Amino acid sequence: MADERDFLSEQRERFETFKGQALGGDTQSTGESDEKADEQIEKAKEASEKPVMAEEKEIGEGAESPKGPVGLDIGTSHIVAAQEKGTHIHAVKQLNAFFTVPKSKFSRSILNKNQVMYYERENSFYVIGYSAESFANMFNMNNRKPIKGGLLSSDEEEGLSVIQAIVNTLIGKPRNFGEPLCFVIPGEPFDGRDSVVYHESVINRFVGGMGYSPISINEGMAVVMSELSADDYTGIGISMGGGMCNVCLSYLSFPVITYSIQTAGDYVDSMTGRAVGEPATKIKGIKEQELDLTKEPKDRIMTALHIFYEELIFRLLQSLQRVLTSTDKIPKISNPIPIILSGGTATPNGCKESFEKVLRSIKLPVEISGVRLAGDPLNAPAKGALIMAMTEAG
Amino acid sequence: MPSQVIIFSTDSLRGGIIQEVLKRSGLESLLAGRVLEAGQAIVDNAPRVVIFDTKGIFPDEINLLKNLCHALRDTGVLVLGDRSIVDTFSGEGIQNGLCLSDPLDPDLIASKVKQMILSPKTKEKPLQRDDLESDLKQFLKLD
Repeated sequence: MADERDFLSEQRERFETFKGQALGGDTQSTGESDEKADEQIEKAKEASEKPVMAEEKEIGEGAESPKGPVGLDIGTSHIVAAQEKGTHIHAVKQLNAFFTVPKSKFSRSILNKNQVMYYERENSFYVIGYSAESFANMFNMNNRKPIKGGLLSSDEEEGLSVIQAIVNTLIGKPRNFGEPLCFVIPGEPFDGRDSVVYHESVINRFVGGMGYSPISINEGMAVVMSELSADDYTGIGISMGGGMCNVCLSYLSFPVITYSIQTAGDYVDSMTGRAVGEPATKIKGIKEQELDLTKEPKDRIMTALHIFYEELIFRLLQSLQRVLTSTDKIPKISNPIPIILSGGTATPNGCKESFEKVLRSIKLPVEISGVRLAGDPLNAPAKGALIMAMTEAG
Repeated sequence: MPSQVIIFSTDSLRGGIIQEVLKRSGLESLLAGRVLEAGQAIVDNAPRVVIFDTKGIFPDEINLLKNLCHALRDTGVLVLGDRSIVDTFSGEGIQNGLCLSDPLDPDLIASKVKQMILSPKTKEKPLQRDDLESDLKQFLKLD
């Protein structure tokens, strides 16, 4: 017992030291010394009102060296970098996937001729980004992913180098050393034994090595930062991505509850693929192009997609109910709060309506005012991370 | 300018929420994460109100807070946390209405703090820094 107490004391001491370092002192005041911070927050709030102009990175297009804060979302499906550019937020994205090709003079010539994005390592060419998807479809195979279930994949030894190569196609080194870069991290998985600590530390080192001052933000919280400025940053932000659904209940910008489930878009793709005997990559393409959850399914692929989408939404809301009813962390919230849906998996037509339908059958300990889809669901986490980076700048 | 309100909370989320809600009510405050820091902040600021959040603190710290309560007889003290703990503070000279058990109710806390700041007890008897310092040292056994 004494040992346990010592350990806890030590942990608290370490946390307090860290907190003190992070916040610049033992006690935190809301007095006049915070005026500059308030200014930064106001600037960031203004940025959250700006529209997102998104672009997919063209092959052969050089990466920009950012001037000012950067938001970075390294997701299972895509990597998105966001910067403030005058009247709008500029987001560039790239597919977070790769495909290896044995090294040969012939294959190099083919890759160069077709302007494929790749790098070489040992005996292979690593085709990265959107090019990898084209290759996988060409060979009727699944591309490989450096992130699995929202976290760095333990199955892919070269996963980090692939991520580094893809990030380098989106952003270069900062023009001014030490620019703040806020990257998105998942919440601790609710239904798994994985930990985000390794994932966060590795990305932190890599981003720091590029010359940025790295900070991290929970993915659900990033959605709140992006979409809930008019609600005093109070509500539930949900990012439905490829490998994970991330959830954050925020109260006045404080992330009171954060967690994730490792069931998301990839689960829908793989389960549908298994059910109908098609590769998940192909199912993903069909899902992104054709799925409409408001319409009756017209074939067995659509039927399976409807079934697994509903199951995903049910699992997500069931987890939310379990987490919210089993915690004593939630403060009394006098008004109903909104739920914001974001992420690629939330984009099919009818996803919000399906979510609302399941929500009506679930009892939560907080009253919900409504469900909204993020203004730009694919880029909301990166935008939220940018807003967080802006509050740290200056 | 000295802070009118000192918050002690080892939970940075709860402490941050209380601080933010008070800020929105026009009250500047100071948040301390350790008992001794809270004691020092009280000595330095001679606040009108002190908030003790007992959530997640060790039994020894609870005893220290109870000792502090005795030294703060002319200051408004609000105690927060689990019912089983906050109820034990009512025997330490803290009114029942100022022992608020969980769930954390930020709006209620803000209204209680405002009431206390306006009450004659805390308004008309500003703390005497030297007396308070000696009292606190005595109760925290720092002499």
